[in-house]
This record gives sequence, structure tokens and C-alpha cells, in this order.
Amino acid sequence: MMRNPVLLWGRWLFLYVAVTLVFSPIATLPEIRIAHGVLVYLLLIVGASREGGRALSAVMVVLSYGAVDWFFVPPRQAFGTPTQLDLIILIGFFATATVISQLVITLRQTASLATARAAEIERLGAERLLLERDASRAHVLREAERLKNALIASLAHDLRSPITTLTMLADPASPVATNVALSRIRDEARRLDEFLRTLGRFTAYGDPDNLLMVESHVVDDLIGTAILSSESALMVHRVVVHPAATDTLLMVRCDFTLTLQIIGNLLVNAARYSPAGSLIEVSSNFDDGIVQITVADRGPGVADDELELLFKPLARGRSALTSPTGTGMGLAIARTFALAQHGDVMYSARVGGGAEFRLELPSASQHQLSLAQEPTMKSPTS
Amino acid sequence: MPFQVLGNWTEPRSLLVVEDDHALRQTLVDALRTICDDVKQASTLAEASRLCAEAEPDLVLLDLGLPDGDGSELLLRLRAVTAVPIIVLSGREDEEQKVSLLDAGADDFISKPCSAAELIARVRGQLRRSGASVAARNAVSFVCEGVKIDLVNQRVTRDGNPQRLTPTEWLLLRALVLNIGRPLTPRQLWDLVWDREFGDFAVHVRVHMTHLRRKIEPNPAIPRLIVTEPGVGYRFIAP
Repeated sequence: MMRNPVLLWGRWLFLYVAVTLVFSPIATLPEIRIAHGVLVYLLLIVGASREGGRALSAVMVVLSYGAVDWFFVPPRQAFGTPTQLDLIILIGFFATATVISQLVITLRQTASLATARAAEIERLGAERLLLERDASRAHVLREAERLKNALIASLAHDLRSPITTLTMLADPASPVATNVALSRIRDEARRLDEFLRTLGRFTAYGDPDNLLMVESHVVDDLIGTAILSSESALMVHRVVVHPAATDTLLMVRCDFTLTLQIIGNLLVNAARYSPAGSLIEVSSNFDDGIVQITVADRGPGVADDELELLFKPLARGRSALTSPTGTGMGLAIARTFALAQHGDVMYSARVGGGAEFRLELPSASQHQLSLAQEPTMKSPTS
Repeated sequence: MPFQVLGNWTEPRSLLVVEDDHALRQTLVDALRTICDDVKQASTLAEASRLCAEAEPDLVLLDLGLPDGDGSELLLRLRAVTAVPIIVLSGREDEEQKVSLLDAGADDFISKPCSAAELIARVRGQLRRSGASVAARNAVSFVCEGVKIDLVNQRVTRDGNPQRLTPTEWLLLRALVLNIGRPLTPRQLWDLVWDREFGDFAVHVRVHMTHLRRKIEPNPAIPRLIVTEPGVGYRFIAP
């Protein structure tokens, strides 16, 4: 903000000269009093002190003192005064002008120091945030890398079984009835696709150019779409969605397809570990900037000794009700994907029996929700 | 009256399958033979361009990633000269590509792997849609699980109760119904419904879509009329 000092001095000296020139012809008029001069010159000093340094303000004080003495304090057009009361005015003016100018300058310097400190603090804060974000991203990427390796290790083993099944079923001499064989072939194909999709996700994810598409999404849409796309796995269960207990639309910051897979994994898990015909309940709520999406079942829940392994890759629960066709990666993937979006997946035993998995995601900021509600249209026939 | 929005089914004269993997191409052709006697096939972009000009197929099934160029090139070239329905075959995870292809004029996409039934249903849907006149599409009224939508009189009732839609929700519903069976990206919906050029359009579309679903879906918690295509957009589905 510091301007060119020559310009600064020039400006204020010019203003001083201009004011003085204005005053010189009228200062002798009887209605002009000392106060007029004192006030105008004080203003000039305050202004100069606000912009210039101590030297400029000191010069302005001296010059103004001279002008006030010359033009306004009797005897006019002369320096000094014989009257003691007028001397007090002169001394008072000089003292006030000096004090004010010094005060203004000190104030300005303190303010600029404070601004500089605030900027520094902000810069440091931003840097720290950046560092933290980098650190957490690095952590998540490392975690994803570990998961990917575990998945690849399991692939060799897990791919062999479906391929063996396919080879046997496709044999024209196979004793398996055609319709049974076909439906098994379809299931195995689906399983292979599932592997591929998960693998694809991780490959895309490890690529820094292909980071997450984090946007604001409606929670209802995520839940509905996840249920619809996991429909085949949920066929023998009843799924109920409980509406959130809020008037506003719950929205989260997330990558839609990634989150879809998290909820899908939780739903498929619930179906796999709870008896046919039982109820799977999905609910959502909002608390302190976090949206929670809960998938609850009435299965046996997770045994205490299995808790530790729950989110570890390749861990399969002992209590799976259907044949273990899963990859053993479902929850590990769900959790890693949640962490990557600044969320988490947690387990808690359900009151009354069963498992409850809770996906937490950061809520979308409120200003995006405050879309003005339009008035509804009158139907022409009603 | 159910779905006047879709044209009547008449067997297409010819279809074109563009796919470079031999086994997959053969399977696609076999599947499509059940609805059309004349299914042409191409395995390269050059061949496909030539066949499109010569045979003027009623629909093109296009795989991306051909040996002599990207399928999206063919898409753009085709779109410049014809309105023939184009269905793109793509990987499930290539969402950004799907969006850009839809924005560039593809009518639909099918994610690999898909079942033969799904393939046929999509192809039939696109053929019927392209066969329906604009006037027929505007005169839609239908009932689905207790929800009655009447575009002409601008009335929606659910279980007999009139649902009050906002002007934006009406425009949104119209845009979706007139493009029945066809996925629309948020960008396309935004251009069809809002005459504004600014704002976070995707969030606007999502929020209004949720409000609309609450009014017209038989079960708003699991929408089946307006289905979300993850990472791509929305599709109005004929019940």
C-alpha cells in the first residue's frame, strides 16, 4: 500500500499550499475565527499522518502551526502573540497536532502489522490443511494399493473356480441338465464380472488423473439406485427404506458410483448373512455435518472374535448363509471407498439382534439445499 | 391408454452391428436376428462407414475402441448426416465417456456385459421411439401402479389424489417422458428445462428430480419410473 514517497509528499504539500492560498485572502475577514483554521489544518495533519510517515506528519505539524499562527492568531499576518490566552491556543494546537499525528501513525502501523500476521496465519493454516490432505490422500492411496494387491492375489485363486465350473458346464457331454447348467453359467459370468468391476475400480482409482468425481448428491437417490442395482441379490429379502426425519433434502459430497458400490456391498452383505424373508432396513439421518446411511439386518450379527477382521480384506464371516461366493472384499472395499471420500463405514451390533452397518459421509453444504421452492401449478381441470 | 409415446412395432429392414471382437459380434448378430432378418456387421470403422452409407440401417449398435479408430468418431460422423438411432456398447465403468457420447448424440448405451434379453429390449425400445411421431409423443397419458400421468391436461394423480407439480417439475417430467427409454444427462436436462446458462446445473437437476420423484413415483424410496443411470443421468422407463 506504500505509495511513491515523492508523490505522497507532493500531494500533501500541494494540499497544504492550496488550503493556505484559499485562506490568505479571507483570513482577515471578521467572521473567520481561529477555530476554522485550527480545524482545517488539523484535518490536513490527520490525513497526511494516515498516509505518510512520521517525517511528513512532523513537517505538516510545523507548517500548519506556522499557518495558524500567521493567519488566525492575532496579530494576524505576523508570528507570535502578545496575549497569553492566544499563546495557549498555539501551544495547544501544536501539542494536539503532534499527538494526533503520532497516534494515527502508530494505529496505522499496528493495523498493517496485524493484517500481515493474519495473512501469515492464514497462509500457514492453508499450508497445514494442504499437507494434511496430502497425507490423508497418500494414506488412502496406500490403503487402496494394499487392497488391490490382496485382490489380485485372490484373483488367481478365485478365478480358477468359476473357470473350472464354466468348462465343466459347457461340455456337451456334461450330465448337468441344460437349464440348470445355463443358470449356473450365468451366475459364474456375473461373478467374474463382479471381480472385473472391482479390479477396474481400483485401477482407475490408483491413477492420479482419474480421481474421484466428488459432487453433491441426494441421499434418497443413492439409496434407491443402490437397492435397484442390487435387486437380484435382495430378491428373497424384504427391503424397507425409512425416510429421514428431516424436512430438508439430505445431500452428501461423494462420488456417486463409488458410494453406490459401498451401499450395494452393505446391502448384499446384509442379504448374505440374514435369513430369507427377513427384513433389511435402510435409513438415513443427519448429524453435525455428517450424513449417516444405515443398513440393518436381522441376521446373527458379527461374533466378537470376528470383529477385528471385519474390515480386513479376504475375511469372510463364518455365518454366511449362502455359499461363500463373495470375494471376501466387500467390507474392506466399502470402508476404503468411504475413507477416500472423507467418510467411514462402521459396524455396531443391532438392538434386538442383527448387524448394523453405518456409512458416514460429509454432508453437502447447506447453501446448495436452499433452492427456492417454486409454487405448484394449478391443474387446468381442478 | 398405455404409451402412445412409443410407436407401433414394425420389423426393421436392417440393423448394423459394429464390433471388433469376433465371438461377441457373432453373438450380438445371432441375438438380433430374432427381431430382424437383415443384420449387417462391421469390424472396422471404415467398413462401418461404408455400410452406413450403402445400407442405411434402421439402427446402429456401436462398440467403442475399434482397431482403426475410436467408435465415437463414427458416432460424430453419423450424427452429422442422419438421425438413425445409435446404441453404444461400453464398459460399465466408463461413465465420463458415456456422458460425452450421449451429449454428442448417442441415443442409448448398453453396459457390457448384458443379457440378450436386455439387448433386444433396448433395441426394440429405440426402434419404436424413433418410429413414433412427435405429435404422438406429445399426446401421452398412461397409468402405472396407481400413478396416472396425463401430459396433455397436465395432470398427475397417485392413487386418485392429484399431485401438484411446480412448473419446473412439469418441464422435467415432459422432457423425460418425451425421451422415454433414452438416458438423459444432467446437461441435456438442464438445456431442455432451464433457460439459464449459469449455476451448478447438476445439483439443481438432482434436487428437482428428487422432488418430482416424490410426487410421481409409486414408491419414491425406490424409483422405477425415473431410474438413475449411475454417473450418467436419468432414464424414464416404460412400465
